[in-house]
Amino acid sequence: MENGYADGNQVVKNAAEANKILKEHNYKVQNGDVDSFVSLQGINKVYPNGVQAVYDFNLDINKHDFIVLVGPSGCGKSTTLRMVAGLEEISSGYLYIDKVLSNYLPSKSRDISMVFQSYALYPQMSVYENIAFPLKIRKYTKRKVGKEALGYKLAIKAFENPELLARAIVEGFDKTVSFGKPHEYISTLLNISDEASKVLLSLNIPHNSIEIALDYINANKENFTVDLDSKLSVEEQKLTAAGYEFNENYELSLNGEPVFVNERLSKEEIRRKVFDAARILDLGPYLDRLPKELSGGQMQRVALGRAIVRNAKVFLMDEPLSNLDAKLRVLMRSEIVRIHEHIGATTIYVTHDQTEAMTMATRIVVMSKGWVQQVGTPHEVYSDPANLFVATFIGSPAMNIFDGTLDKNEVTLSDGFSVDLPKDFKEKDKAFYERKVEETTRLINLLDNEREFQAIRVFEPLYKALKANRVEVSKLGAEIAKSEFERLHHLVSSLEVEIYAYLDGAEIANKHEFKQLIKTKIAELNSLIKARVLEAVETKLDEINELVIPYVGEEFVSSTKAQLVEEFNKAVANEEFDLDVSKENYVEAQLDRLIALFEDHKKENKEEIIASLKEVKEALGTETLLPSLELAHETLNNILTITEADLSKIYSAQSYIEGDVKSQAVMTFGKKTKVGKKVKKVKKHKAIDPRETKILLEGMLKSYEEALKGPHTVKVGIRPEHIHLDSEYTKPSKSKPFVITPNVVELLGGELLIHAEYNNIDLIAKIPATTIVKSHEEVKLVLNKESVLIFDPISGERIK
Amino acid sequence: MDQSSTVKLHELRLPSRNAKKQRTMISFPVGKLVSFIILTVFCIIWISPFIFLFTVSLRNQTDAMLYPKEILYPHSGYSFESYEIILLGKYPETSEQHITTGVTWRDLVPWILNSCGVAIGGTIIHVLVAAFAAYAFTFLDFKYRNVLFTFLIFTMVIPGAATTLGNQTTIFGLKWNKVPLVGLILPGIGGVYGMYLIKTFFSGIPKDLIESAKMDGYSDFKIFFKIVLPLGKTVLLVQGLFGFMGGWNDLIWPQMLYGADVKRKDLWTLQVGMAYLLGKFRSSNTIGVSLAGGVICIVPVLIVYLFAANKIVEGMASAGVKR
Repeated sequence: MENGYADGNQVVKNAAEANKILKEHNYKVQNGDVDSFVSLQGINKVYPNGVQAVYDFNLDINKHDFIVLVGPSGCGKSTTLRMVAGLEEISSGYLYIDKVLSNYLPSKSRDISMVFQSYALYPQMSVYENIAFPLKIRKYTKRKVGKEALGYKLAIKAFENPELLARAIVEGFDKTVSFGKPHEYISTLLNISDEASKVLLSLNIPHNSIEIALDYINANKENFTVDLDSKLSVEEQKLTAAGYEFNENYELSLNGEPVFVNERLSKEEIRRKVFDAARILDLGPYLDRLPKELSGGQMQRVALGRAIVRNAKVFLMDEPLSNLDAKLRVLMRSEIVRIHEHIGATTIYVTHDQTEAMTMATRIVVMSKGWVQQVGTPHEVYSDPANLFVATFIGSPAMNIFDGTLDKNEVTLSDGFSVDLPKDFKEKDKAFYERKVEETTRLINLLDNEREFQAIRVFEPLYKALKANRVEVSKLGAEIAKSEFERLHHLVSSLEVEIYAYLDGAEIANKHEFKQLIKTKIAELNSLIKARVLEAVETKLDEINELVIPYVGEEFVSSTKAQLVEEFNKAVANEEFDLDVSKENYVEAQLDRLIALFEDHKKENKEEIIASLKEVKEALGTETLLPSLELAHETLNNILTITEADLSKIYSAQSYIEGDVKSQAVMTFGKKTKVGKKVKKVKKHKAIDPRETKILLEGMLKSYEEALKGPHTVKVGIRPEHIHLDSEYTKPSKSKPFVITPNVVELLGGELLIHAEYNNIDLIAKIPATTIVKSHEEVKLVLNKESVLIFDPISGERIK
Repeated sequence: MDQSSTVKLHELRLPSRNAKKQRTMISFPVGKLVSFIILTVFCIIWISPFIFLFTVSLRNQTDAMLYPKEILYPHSGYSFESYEIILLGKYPETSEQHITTGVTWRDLVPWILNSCGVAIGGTIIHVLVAAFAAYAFTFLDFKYRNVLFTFLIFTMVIPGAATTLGNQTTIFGLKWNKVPLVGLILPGIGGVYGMYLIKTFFSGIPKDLIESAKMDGYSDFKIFFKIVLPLGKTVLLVQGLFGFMGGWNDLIWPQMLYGADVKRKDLWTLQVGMAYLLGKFRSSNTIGVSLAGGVICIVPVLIVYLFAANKIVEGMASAGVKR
């Protein structure tokens, strides 16, 4: 591939070869298949302490886009930006900038520039030096120029305008006008190169006053031009002697081919670029000041100047306006948009301020808790929010969300007020819930693999120990037993959750006390399990069963008891494993157990797994142990077929589940989670507890199926500006009127904000201030039916 | 009612609440005087050794022990007799004892040069090494960084004297006790205290500055020299001063290294030389000679202080303050 990049799409035999190719190309990989300018594909960020900040981030950014990442604090937007910048490592996923795989490129090679929230100006450098700083180090490919010859040519040209030349020379030496060196001033004013201005200075033109200088120039003009002409021809001869050809700008070519050099910018070029940036940003008068002598807005502009001066491929801005006061923020907002339009750079902008996002972005990415919630233009995000989170986060004042019941085409709020929806809504609703049922069933099937989770649990310690070639039999046995006992406790707690779920549905006289009783019994059960007394455990189980059988049914009780007792025996057996057994025997026994687990299993690829496990068994003690072990490990890992996208669905379901269910069954994915009152630390890898997740998903499935049957609860969203006064609104999409009593009426310019208690929420309506509405006096309002949004209360997704 | 006899309440002049206070203010400030006296007494006690040092070094041998009653005005006047003895070996005619030290002012030149070498050279190397280490510990992310740092901090617990003997063995083994300066400078350049001080200051530099420069393509060395050093120059100056003082005043280590070898006096530092001389002038009437030696030792440090006083005070203040 050209430019020394490796082709990202080529297929090679093994990792070693891939590494070799990478090393040959200096770890530069290009992927022609990536269409967009910047592409983030399945990016994840997991911090070393196990906290995951960003989940499955996918985004394609086109050239000249202004992308705004917006979300509440701690949602992972800054982390994403820092990953693009190369300041944070990308845990998994691919980042392409201009088709180049940039995951492992250091940030300086990515050709990006960034504006920091704190501006990051160097306090010891002046504004000029600050802006020039990024230009000083980088090398650029430039056309090779005969600088001396060009200098003479421009110097001759300068005599065409003697007045300006005289002024430039005099002012160049005048310390009140020029703060730099004389030749810098002259070359800037006359727009000539430094070489040319040095030539002019070497003519010793007097610089006492403009008149004297002008007289001197006019008197000696002829001499000077002749002299310089001769010097120019000498330089030209030198270039020709070296074999170069040149055009009128003295850009050199060799045998018809242009000659390029890769070098740092000269002082003159830097000065030009800095002045250009300063002109765009109105920073001219402040160039010689130190950052501490500037106001907040000026510092902000210097930071912007430092970013734009390098003309990088991508601009990153991390909350650049959050340190400014409200008025300046509005000003700088339009300034940034103006600069973006002026230079057209691709920009990624992070903010928590939705107003900034809505006004500046060409596309908005709304994030929450590390997940992307929606990507779209400001208009899309505002009028077609994908879910409840986006609907409530975007828009000020926030959208009103009611609980309602949907029956066919009519949604009814709790006070009986109803809105009829378009006719085709019924089909939409049906299609939505059918899709949901299908999806959830698939997820449940994925999780319905108790055995596989158990297999991983047995295999992992074995794998680690064998790999490190240190099988300490006693330790290993204890380790497995320990994890199995933990599992027992887990089983008990999920049993508890299930019982509570049943109890909630049943009608019991002293529900609270009854629950307390169950709770103490289960605590006793737990301590008995800890004490490893099977008989007592069984009696305790029976006791609990007797209590709960009327509410949960025989079937449930007997199945859970059998399961618990079986697990208990297994765990005890493991713990009391004979320590005299040789290490091979122990490992063999465990492997047999694993094989047995899979043999009566309905999984399609079980043969493959069993074969790989048998291979490991045979390879014990031989040299082929390690490869076969790795193979088995890989096969087993592949069993966990839950993808990140599926997790995302489960996650978003989570956010909107209310009350008990949420606190009892918390999804765990590499995060510290609270289960009950105990805080437990979950390991880094996928620590999904299948049972808890299954309970959660089954609950969801149940309600989805309910929703398909007939009337069901929904969340109804209506933006404040789509609520109108009955007397004023005349469009056909007008709904039936409803009456409220405003608590507070705010006058905001030409609009009235009405706050009122309605259907247990604080309703906010925004109406034109042409009609006077007083607080505590009833008003009649209507809705715009077309703008009513309907959300599914479980997944939070939008149905309409 | 008679108009003249009416008095509006707000026109009534109430006795000033501060009247009593004002009176005491005007009267003699006893409290202030007492504290002034106490402070003055302590101040005199504190600087008396210096006064003693200077005045007694400027006396005749005959007057040497006539203090405190003639502390400022010795009855036979001031003289440079002590300095003449120590620098030139020239004794006054009245002197009863003649101690031959074998040292003249010519020996002082290498001593002062050696001391300068240790104090200035050692300090520069130490500050550079410490600043590099502090930069790494603050801004670079490497494995076991915190473990290493904790270990280094732990070494501060070990008193210097405990490791001196080990160092001496090493240096003698390398025969560096026959070479000037190297053995004096090397053991000191890895001092943890300076690194800790500088690191504390560097932690106050916003990380954004470093990250921004990295994105612009600057290497760690360039960032260190262009951004971190200019920002941290005050703390480096403070650490430099500490290092200079330590290097100049150190006696034990140079003494252990070179002190035993009287034939190689050219390797000595000023402190070692002075200690040797003072050992010779132990009798009570030659006390002036000893103190003249002390004056010779502190004069260079005083000169450094006079030149750098402003910077040092400023640096001390800002080193403790986070930006």
